[in-house]
Amino acid sequence: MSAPALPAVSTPTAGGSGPRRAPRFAWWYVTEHLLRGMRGYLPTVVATAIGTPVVYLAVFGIGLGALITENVAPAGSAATTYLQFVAPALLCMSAFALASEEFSFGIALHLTWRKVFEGTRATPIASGQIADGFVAFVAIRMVITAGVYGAVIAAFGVVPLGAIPALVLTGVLGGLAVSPLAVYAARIQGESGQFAIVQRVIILPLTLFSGTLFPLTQLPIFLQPIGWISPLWHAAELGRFLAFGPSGQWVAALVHVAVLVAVAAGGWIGLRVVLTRRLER
Amino acid sequence: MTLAAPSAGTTGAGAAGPVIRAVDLRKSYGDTHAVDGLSFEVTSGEAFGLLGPNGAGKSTTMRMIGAVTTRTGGELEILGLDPDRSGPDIRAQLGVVPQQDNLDDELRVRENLLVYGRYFGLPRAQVARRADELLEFAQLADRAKARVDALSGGMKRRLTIARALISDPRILLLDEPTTGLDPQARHILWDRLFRLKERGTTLVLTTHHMDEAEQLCDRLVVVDKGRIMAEGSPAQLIREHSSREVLELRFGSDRNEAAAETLAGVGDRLEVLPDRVLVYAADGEAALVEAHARGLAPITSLVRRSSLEDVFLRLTGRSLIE
Repeated sequence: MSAPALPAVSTPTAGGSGPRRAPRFAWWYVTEHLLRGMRGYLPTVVATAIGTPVVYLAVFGIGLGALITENVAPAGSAATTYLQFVAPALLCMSAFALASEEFSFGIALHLTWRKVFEGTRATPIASGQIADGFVAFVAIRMVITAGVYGAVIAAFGVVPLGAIPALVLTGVLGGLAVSPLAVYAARIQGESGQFAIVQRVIILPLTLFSGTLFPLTQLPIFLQPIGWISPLWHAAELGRFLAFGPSGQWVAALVHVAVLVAVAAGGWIGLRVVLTRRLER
Repeated sequence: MTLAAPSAGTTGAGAAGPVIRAVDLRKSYGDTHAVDGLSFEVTSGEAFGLLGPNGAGKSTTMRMIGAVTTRTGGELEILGLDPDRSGPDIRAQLGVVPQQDNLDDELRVRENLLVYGRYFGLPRAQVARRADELLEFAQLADRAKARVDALSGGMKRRLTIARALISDPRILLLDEPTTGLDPQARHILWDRLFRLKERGTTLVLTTHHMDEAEQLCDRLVVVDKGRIMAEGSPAQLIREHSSREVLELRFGSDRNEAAAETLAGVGDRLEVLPDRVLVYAADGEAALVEAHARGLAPITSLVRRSSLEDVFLRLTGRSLIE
């Protein structure tokens, strides 16, 4: 078969300034790439970010909140209603849910299913920088989601406006502490339902038994360790403290921060190691 | 507009020296030796091919040249640098077209070029200008805003090549660039690659298609089980390892062996395959006349030029595509 007739085409010129070794902050190019990809489903992101807190506030404020009249907040806390007790935890939950989704399906999508990270790895970007860029992308997504959540609960007067930045940071830190899930996701070569199991057997129980909707002390003592190991419990407790006090519990707050930072850092480093192994075989 | 020569880049290899030099290159995974002592050189502006069947070690070799996987042994220099030590510097000068497209389906066609150009640290304006030029080059300008998953296989391949060219690489690595494409898409792609070759871009490609190797490669190595079986230009390899022509005779699967016995002495050499008998001869027509003269009545007969497929068969006793 002869070659088809080809129209005259222009051909690319050599670039004015040649390619350079990617700089130290090249991880940002990965983040930039992922954020650009998110633009394709931005309406969904915005609708979910606004719709979710509104629905939750309606459920817990107008519905469940009307039934729970007892003050469940710790002694000395400025929170007086159930909605105030639950709102910081709900904000953290939104970041936690997003992180658990991105650190499982998001990793699989870019690493295994579409192999986008393999394309990135063929450039001057190092595998570790891909991990950094991905974690930064998830953090930015969490800032948006938790930020909208914070704006909604502040607008409803549930949480003081001044506490929102600290709450958002707490939510993001709690979400980053889900990063060990990304280590697991990056090790999986062929996903065959593992993530669905993780969501049901690990993420859902952690969400429900992390002292988010009720104090952890309500659970029998043998179930309370689920909360202790849950990033969400640490984030929710820290968020409540930052929003409402009591002011004297700085030590406990610092412990929550230390645990979250340690787990997040461990997951992040683990992701760098596993991604490097996967992409440089 | 003519295609300018690739920029000199920032690495140490001079224009006269080899841009790729492999000496006893090895890569093992446990007890499996994927690459088992390859030695070759590629000079600037050359179109160099690695020809071999699936599992021959071609892709592993490409990954080592692409500075994404380390070698187990031997020496490897890309543009004068060691890929195990200077990976990012080397990758900054390479364009890579992987065996399986890894475009980002979440992005539009042009966006795939934009994000990729940024990975090379290029300014946004320069990446944007070059993306438009490359879309023209890849004949995808009218698809710039299309979704990637709406493209045909050939279009995706051309987009992947355009993406690999975004940084104006000195060496373009193509791992089985036309596998899975229909003949028309393959010809369009070959045309684009030929233009790059004319421009002076060094092409290194793997393939198990003989026609592709013959079309594009100035020089190639035949690889099997991680080792080089032969090296040379396509014409040279055919001249050295095969006859000028090949007569293909089909007698029916249960009669080929017996027919081959009758054909003994016809041509330079005989090869009995499950579905046909190959007679290697300088004059295929004369060999066919001789076959008829010996009382043979093949179901079909075909005289053709010798190809790299015949070279591979001769060297390894196996077909390229199994």
